[in-house]
Amino acid sequence: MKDLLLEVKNLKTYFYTDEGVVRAVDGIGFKIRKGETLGMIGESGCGKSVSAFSIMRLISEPPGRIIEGEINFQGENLREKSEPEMRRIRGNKIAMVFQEPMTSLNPLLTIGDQIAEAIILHQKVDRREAQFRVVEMLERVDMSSPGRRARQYPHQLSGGMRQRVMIGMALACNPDLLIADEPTTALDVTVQAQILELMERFKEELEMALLLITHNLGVIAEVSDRVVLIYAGKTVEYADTISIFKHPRHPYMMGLLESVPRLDDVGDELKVIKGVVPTALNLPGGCRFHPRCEKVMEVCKVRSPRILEVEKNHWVRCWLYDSEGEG
Amino acid sequence: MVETNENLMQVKDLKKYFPLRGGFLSRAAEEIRAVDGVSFSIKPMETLGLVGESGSGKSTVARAILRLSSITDGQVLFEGGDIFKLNREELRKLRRRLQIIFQDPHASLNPRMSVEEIVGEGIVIHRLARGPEKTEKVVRLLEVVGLSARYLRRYPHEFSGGERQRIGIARALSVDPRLIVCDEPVSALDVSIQAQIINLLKDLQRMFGLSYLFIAHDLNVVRHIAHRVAVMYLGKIVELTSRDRVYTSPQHPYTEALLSAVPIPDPTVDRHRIVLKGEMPSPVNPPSGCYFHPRCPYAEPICRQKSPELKDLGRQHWVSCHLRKKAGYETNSSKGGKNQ
Repeated sequence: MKDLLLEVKNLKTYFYTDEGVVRAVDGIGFKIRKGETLGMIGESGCGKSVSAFSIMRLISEPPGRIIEGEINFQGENLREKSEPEMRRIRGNKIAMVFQEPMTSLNPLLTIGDQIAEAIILHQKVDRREAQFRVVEMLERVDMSSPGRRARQYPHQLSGGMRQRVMIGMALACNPDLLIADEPTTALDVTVQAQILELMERFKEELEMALLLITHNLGVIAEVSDRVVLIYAGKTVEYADTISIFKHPRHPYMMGLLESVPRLDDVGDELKVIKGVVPTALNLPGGCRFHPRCEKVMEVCKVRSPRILEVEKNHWVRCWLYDSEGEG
Repeated sequence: MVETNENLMQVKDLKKYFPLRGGFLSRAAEEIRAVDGVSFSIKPMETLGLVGESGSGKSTVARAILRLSSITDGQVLFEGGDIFKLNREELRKLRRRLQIIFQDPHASLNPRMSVEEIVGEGIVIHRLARGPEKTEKVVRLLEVVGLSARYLRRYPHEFSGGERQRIGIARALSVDPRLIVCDEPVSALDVSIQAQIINLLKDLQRMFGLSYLFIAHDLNVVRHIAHRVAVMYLGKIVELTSRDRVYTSPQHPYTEALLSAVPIPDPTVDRHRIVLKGEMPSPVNPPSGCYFHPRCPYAEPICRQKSPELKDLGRQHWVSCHLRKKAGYETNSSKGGKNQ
């Protein structure tokens, strides 16, 4: 693939706890091209955030460990990097924005000082120059009265403003890839719209790729070029946005699309995916979706399906599309 | 809004101000107008959706109508009587008739109580049943909300978010309420579980003849459950009408923006998103005139000067906007968006 920026291949990250091995990520793979947006969808506990932390090599060891797979970024496998090498990549080449900006900001420092710290750390500038760039950066993320805001503490800002600060800090070093983990989930819808618009604008300006992690199908549909769907630690479907939304193949994706309460649908009764989301400690055998699947077959209960390209660039992990599962 | 006898609940010009104490003598220097003149009614077996973003005052309204807080001004009539003029015994009865389901199913169930104790607590307090009869009633309630009787002796941590929400619903149902305030009951749940809970609430409404005040922070969930929808902004209702009219012809610019901000899970739908400028102002120091005017893409001089009243445009479509009377406005807004 031309312009390949990041390729994650069969990633497995396990956590070794007293209660047993938590297979949080257990076969996730995808590619991101330069400048594109890949949307990652899945429900809580499916391994989305652990994937992101694995890419950043921020999994705390022990209890966690990346046990298998490759994380190829700009042609180099990040799994083989030393910690000092990773530190140069984090922030400079790959930046990250988290769901709850309040916990990612230091409550004891003004936001101006925190941004300045990031700028001084990554760009060789002195404190005075950094202060100047702080205000410039707050302007770039559409913060009202940036000079005053720079002197305020995180608790004095609204959730939306804090997320603007986080995005500004993440983008201070013009990274090639921004990983945004549920960046708008804690925000009101009208603020979410503002933040999504801001991220899209930066993506174009900086020619930056975006890995957007969310459980919100609407957000994914609006901003992604391609989509990777995760269920219980595995990639179950992977395709470009229009084909996955218009021609979903995996019964889980089909179920999600039918069950999500949406604005443009007057239907009275919502369709439902039965059952509960499995926990990583207590995963069903065979295909992990089989207890909830409407199209479950005998083979699904005993054998785990492989991921196959069922159509050009449309990958699905389901026995329905695998001839090996017949008979 | 006029036929009092028909309404199960009627809220009239409800106001709730919180004093902001400042200075060294703790004088009430300023006040937060969390709810500033809200009126609505709920009929038997009706679901009213109350939609607003954080800081709009929707949760304060919920607390007030449950009599969990005092009010500054106004009236809340439930089954014809003013809930703020009840004696002890009447208040105890009211607690049975009015119930609530909370947003966070993890925080709202006591971790030290078994499912039987949680669901049975209200039954005991209100002396509705005891002993084996009580257990039987709890089992029946669990079955009604889709949980097995095997779970009776289990504790909240053994359940998923969706199951805990079902336990919370069973608890609310245990005392035979007429009205249940549902405070964002699906916001904290996984997407594949939300639909299960919404469908359950609708089934229960039919089964038990319940009314709901369904609180939400955006409009997409409400569409599937509410009969009428009220949109709140900075302590006031800006629009109140039937579910279908809210979605097909929103009249207030804020409703319009709120609708257009909800992302639609269909990449082929091409639409104009109205991105509002700024954020909701502070209720300590609200803007002059119409509270929405600093962010309104259509604001005119009158909006800065005069506060608009909530008026019926006909067919029970209540809107609080000066510009609504202008010719041509309806056609612009009816398609759910135009560029700023």
